[in-house]
Amino acid sequence: MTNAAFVASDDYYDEIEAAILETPRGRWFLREYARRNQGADTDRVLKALHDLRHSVVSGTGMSHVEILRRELQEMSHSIVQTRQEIAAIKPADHPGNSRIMVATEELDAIVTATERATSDILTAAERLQLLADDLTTTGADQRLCDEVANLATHILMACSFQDITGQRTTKVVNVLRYLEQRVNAMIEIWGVEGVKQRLFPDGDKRPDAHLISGPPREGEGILQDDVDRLMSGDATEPEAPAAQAIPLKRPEPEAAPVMETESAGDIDQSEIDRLFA
Amino acid sequence: MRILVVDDYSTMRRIIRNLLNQLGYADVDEAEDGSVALQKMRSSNYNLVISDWNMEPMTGYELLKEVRADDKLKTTPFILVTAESKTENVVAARKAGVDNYIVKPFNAATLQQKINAVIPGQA
Repeated sequence: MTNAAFVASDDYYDEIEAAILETPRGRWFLREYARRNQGADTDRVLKALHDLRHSVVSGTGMSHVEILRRELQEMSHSIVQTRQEIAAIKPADHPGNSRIMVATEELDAIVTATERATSDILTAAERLQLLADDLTTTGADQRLCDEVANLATHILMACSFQDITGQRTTKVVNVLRYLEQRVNAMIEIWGVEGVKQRLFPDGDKRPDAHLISGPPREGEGILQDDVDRLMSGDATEPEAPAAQAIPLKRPEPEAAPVMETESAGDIDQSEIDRLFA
Repeated sequence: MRILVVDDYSTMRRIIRNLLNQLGYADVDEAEDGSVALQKMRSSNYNLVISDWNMEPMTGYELLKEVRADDKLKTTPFILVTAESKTENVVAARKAGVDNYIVKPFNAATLQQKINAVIPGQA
């Protein structure tokens, strides 16, 4: 039987195996053959594992594992950073002094201050109008009296800025209150209480920054008389007041409120007049 | 002639009242929002309403619609004086029956012109 004529089949295999198994030497041969071939397979698997390990350590291949690890690290870093940012918005040591709340109170104070100043200006302008009338009756130059009255009217009309700026400021205040609500919701979700605040590089670095807070709000600060007494040494230095949370009115502006503002799409008085013509 | 000025800003009420006085309208009353104005209109007679738009709780636009829906008040001349200057605002106000519309800031001449347009021969 030559190789060319031989056709492999299960029958031949069984026949040869049976012939070999008939003798002790044949049985020994089969056991040894199986043991040696099994060892060769194990060596191949171990070599493959070694190659795999080497490629991971050297940075070639297995990039998915590495990418996943790096992504997880970046996510962890982002979460820590976000918690710090949120904690910085709402300092834990002064819960009533969140940056948003302080900004809102400052804007409220601006509205109050401009309203008061506008009222004073209006009173002065109205007084000028009355004086112009009085001067007319006392025989003063009518042209000058009229000019004074006209200028007083100009002052009155200019005071209408307070209405416009007040509405714009109110719009910003409402947006800030909306943001504050959202930030508070985030704080609850992220649980940032006790998280160490990140230092902001854009913070006020002036040496006396801790002494600078701008004009005081209503009820804060001291009066000129107190300053004078302190300067003259008649009064002792007051103790630093405890941090006080000033309650705010908190409307619930879920939807952005409609405000009176100028914006794209506005039309002027002449265009309105044409609509009513 | 009796005029009701409606604005939530006391400054604006004061300015408009002063301008109206200068223009010869001495009988001027004030209300700080639409609901107060509506109460006043139902208890007293006014020849003209000059109202802001953006007020709480009742806006000038809501006041206008209430006035136009009220059989006793619906013919009262109504001018809106507001910073709301978008086309849709003016169109909505017209549909609701406003007689004229003044954009803030404005001057005495504009106010007089609009009053004359709404109530000819007054002042």
